[in-house]
Amino acid sequence: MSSLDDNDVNYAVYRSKDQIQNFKIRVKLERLTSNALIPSLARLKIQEDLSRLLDSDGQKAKQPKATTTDVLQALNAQNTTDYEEVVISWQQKLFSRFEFEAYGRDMGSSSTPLEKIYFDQIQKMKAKRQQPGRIFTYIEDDPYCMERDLDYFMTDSPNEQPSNLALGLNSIRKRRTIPSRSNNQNLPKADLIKENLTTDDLLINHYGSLPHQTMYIMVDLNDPVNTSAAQLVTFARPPNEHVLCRIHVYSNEIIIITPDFNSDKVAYMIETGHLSNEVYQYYLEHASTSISKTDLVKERKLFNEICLRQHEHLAQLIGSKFDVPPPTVLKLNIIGEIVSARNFEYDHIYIYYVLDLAEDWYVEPSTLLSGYTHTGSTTMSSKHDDVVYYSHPFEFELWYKPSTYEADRSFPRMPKIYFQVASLDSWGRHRTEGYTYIDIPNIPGFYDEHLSCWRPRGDSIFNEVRRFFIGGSLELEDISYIAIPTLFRSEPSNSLLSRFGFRTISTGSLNIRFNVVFQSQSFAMEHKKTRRVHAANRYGFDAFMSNVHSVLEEFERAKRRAIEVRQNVTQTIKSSF
Amino acid sequence: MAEVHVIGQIVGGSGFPESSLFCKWKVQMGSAWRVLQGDQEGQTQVDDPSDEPMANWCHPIDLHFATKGLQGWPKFHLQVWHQDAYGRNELYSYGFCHIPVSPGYHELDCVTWRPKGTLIEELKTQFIGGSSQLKNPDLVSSSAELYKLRTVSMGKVHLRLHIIVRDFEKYGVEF
Repeated sequence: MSSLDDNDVNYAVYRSKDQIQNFKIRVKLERLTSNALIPSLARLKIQEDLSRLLDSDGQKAKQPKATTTDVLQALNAQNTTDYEEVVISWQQKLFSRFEFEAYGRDMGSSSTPLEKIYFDQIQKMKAKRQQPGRIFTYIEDDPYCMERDLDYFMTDSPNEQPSNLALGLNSIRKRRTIPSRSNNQNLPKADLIKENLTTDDLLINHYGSLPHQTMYIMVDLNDPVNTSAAQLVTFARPPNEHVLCRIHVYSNEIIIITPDFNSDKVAYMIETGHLSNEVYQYYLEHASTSISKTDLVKERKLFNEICLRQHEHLAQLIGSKFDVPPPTVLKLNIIGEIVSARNFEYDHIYIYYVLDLAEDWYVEPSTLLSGYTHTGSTTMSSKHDDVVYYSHPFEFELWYKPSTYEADRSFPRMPKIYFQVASLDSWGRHRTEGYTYIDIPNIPGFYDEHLSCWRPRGDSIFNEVRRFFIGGSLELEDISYIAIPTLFRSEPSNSLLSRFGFRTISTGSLNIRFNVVFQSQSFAMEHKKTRRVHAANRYGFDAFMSNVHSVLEEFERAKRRAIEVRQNVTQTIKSSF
Repeated sequence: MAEVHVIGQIVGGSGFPESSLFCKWKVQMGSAWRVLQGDQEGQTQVDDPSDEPMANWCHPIDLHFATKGLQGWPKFHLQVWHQDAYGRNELYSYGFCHIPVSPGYHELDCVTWRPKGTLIEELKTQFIGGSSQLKNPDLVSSSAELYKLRTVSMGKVHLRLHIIVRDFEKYGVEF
């Protein structure tokens, strides 16, 4: 909202799920008196502010906010004073004097249905001796509304032409109901392509505007002429109409009001452009009847119930069980895939991989810890002709249960995965292409690794020649030699690993992508603890209280366990009798 | 139970010999998993780029899983098919890739391959298209029998996925 003393024209966006027929707006219009001299708006503004701040009505000659007694007086003398107050509901047609005359003339058979409706309304008004006031409205179907120029022309250039987009969007506005495209049910499942388009289809599918309706609340600021005289003298006067308020209602529950309600702020000013520059001020108030308290309470309860029911339904589907490892055990899941191999000497390569469990790591007996990929050959496209794609997924689940001695003293040694790349060509020649390994990281997360490979070479050139002609190359007897050989680890007297004299050749590289996930009950407990205690409250009284809480909880748990044990014991005693 | 949301798209495929491609995708998971919302499988439209090297599908993926355990984390089974000018569909390649485990935004390239036949069959593929297909693609991704297969690498399928997880910390899982 703009500041209280800001009289600029602003607009406000409201949302309402209620039906728009319930919307009512009250407009209060009044002419400022004492304007023999052209008043300065600034002075008026200051006077307004002062009067509002002082909150006393006695000083000034005008009363921007009419009290109830004044309203009664005003109603009684409405035709002579310049105060007017109207409550307008949505798309309610109020006639201006010009329209009163224009539609009041019977067109006969050539009138449109709209004109006929208006004519009937005007006849009813004449029967009740009602005269049109200054405030009138233009509603959606009115042909005369000159403010509609704003729909098409934005600048003051006389040569401005509205674009096709503007024409298209504006013609959407004129229609009342266009089904919104966001509804999935309207889309056909078959025949997605429409061959013959109608303009309706174009409007629905090509223009993204929401259908909306507009209403203008206008004021006619011509001098009021005595009606009896007006019937004798019929000369066309240029209408001096000003927009008081423009209301747009969109189909997605949005109401835009320009300018905004100002029932508690400074009045809006209009100045007529005549020589006798008259100033009018007006207030816009929201006058819809609000929902009764009981209805509101009922509605809220209904919404709450619907939400609750949806929650329950989903929660039932989900359930509440989850596999958790036993209390002192850490579970490690490695979920990944061998993506590709690149830059190896020969084609038709496959990869053999094996997971090497370190000490204190256990696995279910039925798990496969090793595997072979398929034999792949390089891509056919010329860009990367040394890459072999595998997309071979693997998944391991391991448990770490250290002995109590180890748990306090040493860091868990993470398992490793060894890879052996070998080639097998169509002649049946089998060659090793490379060895590599990866340590499973001990920080959980997503890893995308490129592992470089090497292969043993041997001392003489004979091995290489044999490898080329008939296949069969040097292989490692113990695959754990790639990392730290088990023989080395098992003899604690060895302190230095020396690979001196072992000749290798670098070969290609592997791309492995995997995720590491840890799970343990102690993490769950940590999480529960941290959730209740904020980091800032770790000290002082709150920490003391939370400690007390946790102690009490532990006590409750122990008591429950003791009761269970006692029950079990009594049951077994009973059953043994 | 914990929940996993996978929201993303199959962006497109590149690196294939011809460009008029579509992709059949399926999500496979272990027995501890259940799909609460979303389509578990689908097929993209055929995209035929005139001068770009990549076929763009932008196929949305919106899945909601509930799980009782970490085994059998869901993975994508992709099959890339080619539709030629005469309307014939031939299988280009298979691809398998795990849905990323850690929450966040991931851009993945799922590489694909196709089974390779004998020399005569390869020649036939060159001229009239259509390679041999796997008898049971579902078993292949996790089976120990892949070593019997000979393959040829094909292109890559690009995926962009956002992973949101819920309630895993309650059971002590760290990503």
